[in-house]
Amino acid sequence: MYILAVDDDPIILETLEIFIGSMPEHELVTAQSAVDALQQMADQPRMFDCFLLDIQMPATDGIELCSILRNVGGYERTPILMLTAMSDKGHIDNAFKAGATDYITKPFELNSLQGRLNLVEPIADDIRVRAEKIAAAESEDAKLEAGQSFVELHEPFSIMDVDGVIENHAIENYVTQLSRKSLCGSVCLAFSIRHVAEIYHDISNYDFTCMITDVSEAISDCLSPVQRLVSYAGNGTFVSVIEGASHIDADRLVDQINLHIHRMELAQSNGERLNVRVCAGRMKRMVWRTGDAAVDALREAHDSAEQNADRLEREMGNIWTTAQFA
Amino acid sequence: MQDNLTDSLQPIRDRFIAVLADRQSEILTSLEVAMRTPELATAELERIGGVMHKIAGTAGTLGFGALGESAQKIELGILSSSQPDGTYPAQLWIDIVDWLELSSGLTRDAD
Repeated sequence: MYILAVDDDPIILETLEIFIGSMPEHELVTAQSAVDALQQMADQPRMFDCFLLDIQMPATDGIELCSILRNVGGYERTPILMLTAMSDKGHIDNAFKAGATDYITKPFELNSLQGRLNLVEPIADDIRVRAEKIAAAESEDAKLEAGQSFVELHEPFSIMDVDGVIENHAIENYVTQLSRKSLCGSVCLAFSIRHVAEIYHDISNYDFTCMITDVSEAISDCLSPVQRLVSYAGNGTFVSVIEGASHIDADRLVDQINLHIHRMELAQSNGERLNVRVCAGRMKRMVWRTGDAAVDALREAHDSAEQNADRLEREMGNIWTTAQFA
Repeated sequence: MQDNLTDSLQPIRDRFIAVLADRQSEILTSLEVAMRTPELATAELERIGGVMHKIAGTAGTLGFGALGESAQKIELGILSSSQPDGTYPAQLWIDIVDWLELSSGLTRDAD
């Protein structure tokens, strides 16, 4: 990968040059400030595949720079790894909300740095392949088509520009980074769109992605009084990590989200209205769950929401059958 | 490869020690001002916290784990014990003095 590292400490940059210099698959460019980084981006003949950003820098800090990069064309999905000694929850939350992909805690070792870079390399490869397809397309229509990939029902995809919504792999990295203490008051809660398979087959792929984006916005907005991060995990299911949510009434929250979705008047491109409703699974407390166990909590919440959606559809079917026999 | 890497890091380690001497003097100056003048204590301790943050971020990678951990402990101590009237727990001052002694050992060895 072609990597840009930004840190105001020259010792860190020199150490990265040696570490990344020992990895033949990667090439490093360094910058000492956000302004320097933006200048490097303008001067380079090709796009960067990955960024390493220090959080605590004078003037524009790494979190602000992360937000800026996410708004630069072509860098919406590029892996951004925050490289920092700040391991408190506030900084981690803000970094992921700003669009960070992962978080590397300083001091770092060669192996952990290499491991983190390996984890994001497939994302960078996917972005590069897609960019090459767009560049190779001859007409404007072909370029547009090359830029849009077909989304399978089970597949998570990136949702852009919705406050509090991050990529699915980023939410897994987020819970992995938090300490036991930080996770203590947090819960994981997932929401599934009911009869999503039917909706998926009935509407165009483009309309499906728009509908998912709108529902993610409704969920994030309804959770917004509390600190939350939401991601789309595929199959019409959204996973959220909510801080201090022990007082949340899940049934009431689902009603609020469904009302919000109803008011959005979701429709297909042809104007036909979409009847979209979500349900929630069981809340999973994150206390005592760190690392892989925290990721397991996300999966359990996900499964629980999908099981609830299936159960509700079965019950609706039973009511319909009973009513017909009555 | 590990041996090559260790060799490659040696000039950075040397530079870290050289910079550490300047940082010790910066910390000592701020510490003296903070202890003498309570109304300036918060600003000076924030300055010390900033220097400790930098040291905590690099020391462990370069093989000075104890120094980095101790710097991080002080940085967190400053962040968590900030008082509007400039009073800080005595242990914080002791930790900073201990850190200066620990780091002086490293810079002395390098001389």
